[in-house]
Amino acid sequence: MTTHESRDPGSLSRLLSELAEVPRPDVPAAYAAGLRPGTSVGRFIIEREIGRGGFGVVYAALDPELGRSVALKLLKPGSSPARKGGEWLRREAEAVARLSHANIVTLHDFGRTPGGAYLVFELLRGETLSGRLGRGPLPLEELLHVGLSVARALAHAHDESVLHRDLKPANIFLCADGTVKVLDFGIAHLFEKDGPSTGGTPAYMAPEQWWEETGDARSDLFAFGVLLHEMLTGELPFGKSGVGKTAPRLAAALPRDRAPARLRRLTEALIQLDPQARPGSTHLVVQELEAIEATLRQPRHPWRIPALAAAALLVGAAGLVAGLQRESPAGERITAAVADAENATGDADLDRLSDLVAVALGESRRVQVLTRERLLAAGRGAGNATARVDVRAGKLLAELAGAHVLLVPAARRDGDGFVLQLRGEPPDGGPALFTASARAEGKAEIPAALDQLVATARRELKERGDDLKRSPSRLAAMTTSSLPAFREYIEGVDCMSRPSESAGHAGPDRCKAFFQRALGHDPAFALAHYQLAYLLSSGGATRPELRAHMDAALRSLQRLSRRDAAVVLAWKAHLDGRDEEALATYAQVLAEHPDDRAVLFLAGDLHFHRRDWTSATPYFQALRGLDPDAEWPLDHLAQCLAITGRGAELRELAALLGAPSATPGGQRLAIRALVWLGDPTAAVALARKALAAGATVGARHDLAAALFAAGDFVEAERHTRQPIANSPLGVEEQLRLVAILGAQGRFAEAWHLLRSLTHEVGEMPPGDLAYFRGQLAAGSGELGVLRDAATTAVKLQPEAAGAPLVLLALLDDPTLASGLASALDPGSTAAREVAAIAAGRRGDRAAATAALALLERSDPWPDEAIAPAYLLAELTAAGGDPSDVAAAVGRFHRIWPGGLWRGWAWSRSLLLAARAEEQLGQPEKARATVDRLLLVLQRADPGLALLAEARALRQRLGQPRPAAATAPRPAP
Amino acid sequence: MSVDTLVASLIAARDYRHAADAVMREYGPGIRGLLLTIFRRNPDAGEEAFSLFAESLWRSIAGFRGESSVRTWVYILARNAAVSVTREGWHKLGRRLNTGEAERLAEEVRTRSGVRLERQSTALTALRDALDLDEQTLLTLRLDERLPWDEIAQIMSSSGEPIDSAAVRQRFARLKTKLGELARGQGLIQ
Repeated sequence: MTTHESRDPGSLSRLLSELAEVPRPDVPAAYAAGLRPGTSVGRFIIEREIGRGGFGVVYAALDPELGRSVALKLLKPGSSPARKGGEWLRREAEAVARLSHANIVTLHDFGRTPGGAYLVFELLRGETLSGRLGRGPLPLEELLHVGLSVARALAHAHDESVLHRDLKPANIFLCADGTVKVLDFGIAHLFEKDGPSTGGTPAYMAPEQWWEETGDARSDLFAFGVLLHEMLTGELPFGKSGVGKTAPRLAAALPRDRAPARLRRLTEALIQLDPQARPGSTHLVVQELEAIEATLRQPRHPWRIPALAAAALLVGAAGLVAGLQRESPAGERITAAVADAENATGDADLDRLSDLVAVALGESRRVQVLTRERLLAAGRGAGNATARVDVRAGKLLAELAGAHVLLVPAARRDGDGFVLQLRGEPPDGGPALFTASARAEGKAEIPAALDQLVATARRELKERGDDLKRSPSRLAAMTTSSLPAFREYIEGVDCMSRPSESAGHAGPDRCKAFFQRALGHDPAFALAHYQLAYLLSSGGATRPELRAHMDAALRSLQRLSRRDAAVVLAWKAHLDGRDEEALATYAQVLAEHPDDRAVLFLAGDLHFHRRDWTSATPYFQALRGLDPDAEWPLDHLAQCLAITGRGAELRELAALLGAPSATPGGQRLAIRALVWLGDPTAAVALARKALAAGATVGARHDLAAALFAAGDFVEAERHTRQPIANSPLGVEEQLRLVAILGAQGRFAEAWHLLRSLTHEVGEMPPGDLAYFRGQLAAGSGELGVLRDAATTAVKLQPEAAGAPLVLLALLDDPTLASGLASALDPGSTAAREVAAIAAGRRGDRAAATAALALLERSDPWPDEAIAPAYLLAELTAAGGDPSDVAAAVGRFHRIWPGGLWRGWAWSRSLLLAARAEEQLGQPEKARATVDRLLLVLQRADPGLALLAEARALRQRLGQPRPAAATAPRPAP
Repeated sequence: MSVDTLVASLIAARDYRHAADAVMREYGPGIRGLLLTIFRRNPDAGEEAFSLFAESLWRSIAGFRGESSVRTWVYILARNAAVSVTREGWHKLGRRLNTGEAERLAEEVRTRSGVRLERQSTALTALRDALDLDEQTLLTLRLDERLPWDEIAQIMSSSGEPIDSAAVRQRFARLKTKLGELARGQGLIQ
């Protein structure tokens, strides 16, 4: 027994228990394995997953008793309805099941299984009203159609004494056939795990719901009024946070030109804060809307456009079938989508048959395969999110993505062997175009059997005989005969291309494991060796390890397809420093396969990392055309456009990416692009919108960064300190905070934070610590610390010592810095910056500025150095043309925030700009700039040199005088 | 049916998906809580460790032969995930905060679930901060999960030198002494 226990055993035990206790947070739905197609839930058979949310997973399922497809919502264990018990669910569901109306989605059934409770609804195709509103307000006629449908649904439910309680655009579904359906009637609140107890979404909640009153039909009418307002204007009358509990807010006025007076009056009556002032019955609202529609009825019905578009697609498909009767002319391509394999063998190694088919078709000169990501993106874009591409979903997705044919691979066991099948289906639902079958005696023969099937498919799809001969599909020979190895390989490739915002996103390190396991199954698998060599090249691998994989890939070169062999050779050339040869090889591959995404990316990326932005741009533009949602090419494309000053194109890209319907990754890119375009205010506005749309940590970081770029460090600090309510700060947030404190001259706090950080994730490696200390010391003017940190950083991590070394050269001792810089790569930006600064300090300012200007063109925002624009501002300020100083500061402010030094440098650059403006005879401007700086430095450490300099300048500039009396000061 | 029996029967039927699901349902929340507590000052690392744990679970469940209890096995996976994230900690998180890195870091940050650790009192937070990965694991497994010493020894031995249950008990006693002294220093106990 310990000393302390003997003094007070109870209190120590309690304390230990408290420390031992860990929360038991729900496991996010993303980690649920999901149900396999074919699994039974109650009497329903799962067909595919169609969506996930906080409450659980939605599946398309078959009701075999009635022979119809349904949507099955499986509520995850731990969700609110699951916790409340079966009886409660039964009562709620029975009330809703009483509703039967054309504009209300039907609840067919509900029940419980060991996996959780479930609700069964009719299955719909189309998009939600919120998806539709993402494209802007509704034309009047469409608005009345939607509004009347919703009002009729509400009237029916209110007659049955069922309230919706959470009417909002996400709960209204616009079916592909033009019908409008209200979803989740009376039970929407079941799915809002953390929502208010009375249900509701703030923007649509009536004042009485804010007070946790149950509300009545008039609360639904309030929400309906908000909905009408939003459909009319695209704006919420009380904003996103709604009327709130506190001071009643006034609704935003409806513009007179958007709606007839009668509709405006109705909308305004519906959103009255006092329930008594709203229409007394839902039927009155229906009647009023019917009357408005009668007076405005038009012959054109815009909401029927989807049906017309579908008809047009049918014609297109018929044209394709006719076109398939002959061999295609050279160069004429068709696009194919590949459905997920129908694997009835029970062997998971055959789950990736579709990928084998896609790889084999990579040899085709005729058939261009759409990536799975592109198919899924087409589905998401049309409100048909799905996780699985079975035949049914595949046809819809293929149609949406504009594919000419859907290829459906299938496998089943046959005695000791397997029967493989490949069907070609027209996306419009006509008869199959062809079906090819092949038998494999064992798993090892499957790749060869697939080669046969793919050859048949290529012939059926009218590929030219010459092309078939010239580049046959030879999967078994070209990849691996081991299916498990292939499966690991494909999962590795998936891992590398997964979108960054997805839950399953993993860093490149984790992707390596797949290829390593693939080699465990087949040590001679050349492509797995190549992928490992590729990943290791950027991961700091030892040369022998990298070389071993590269050599292994090269040994099997003759087995690879011409395309794959060329890709391996190109990478080898790059590793050996023969980039020109690598680029020429990529160009050759692209001449034959112009849509090869991997090679387009490799070529663009190689140009990109050679900092040849102009040459890189067309590759990323081509990739964007092929895969509009892929983030990496877009990110690189935006950077290329920004660096090469193609502002108009960047602005256009930013507008597209910043649209409400864009992916979160796209929006984040648009925010950065706006900063690059010199419009931090617009960046802040977009970041605020993105944050309001979904409070991800990424969105909050973007807002903080945009505010940083705009010089609003107070709010940037607030958002950085609170990445998400009530959670402690992560390491990266704390490092950002150090930079923000530096900008405000609060170095005492910044040092304290940096010191406390060293214990966060284990001891901070000394090289990293020196790197951070050097950057901070440069700002706080502690030159001894800077010298020590730069020296330590060079000794411990020369590849990462660039920034402290350049700062040492700039602020302290260029000779010492030049000596230390001999440890750097002489061609690196940091080494060249140190040399330029040293030349400047020796008096050769022209050479220094020329060298820095050149660097700025090639590497304007270096990773391991200081932005040349900032150095130019500093060097020019010491005796150059003041207008050059102001321009350099402007360019420096357009760089996306990053790096500890950026904080204090941002503030210091304001002093440089103000002095330059003073010299240019612009005292008003100089005063405004220095006032802005003093505002940023409000809480600065009292003895800070920058603060003293700013105050001295402010005093020198004096008070503004009346305009007439102001005379320009001569430049000193 | 116990989770061990259910998982064993699902694995025997090669229904790995449901086996992993059953394990996740039973142990997922506790393990996520433990990992988020270990990495309480860096929730991203906690989520990363949980993600790594989930991945090991899905990948290795087919090879689970029942040589230990399911509970021991999943805690071994969780501890390995935590150790691996700690080792990668600075490499992944604390490295450069330059442009490219900041973007990469930000993009790796996931959408957070609503569930978060509650803020603790300052003194208790200081005590928690004094716990390293193994100490937090030891404390939680013994006092919160109430695991027997030999099971804890098995879990704690997973990624290094084998430790027997007597050594684990000694470590626990030392930990109690350490925390007692710290707590007294913080004025949390007399």
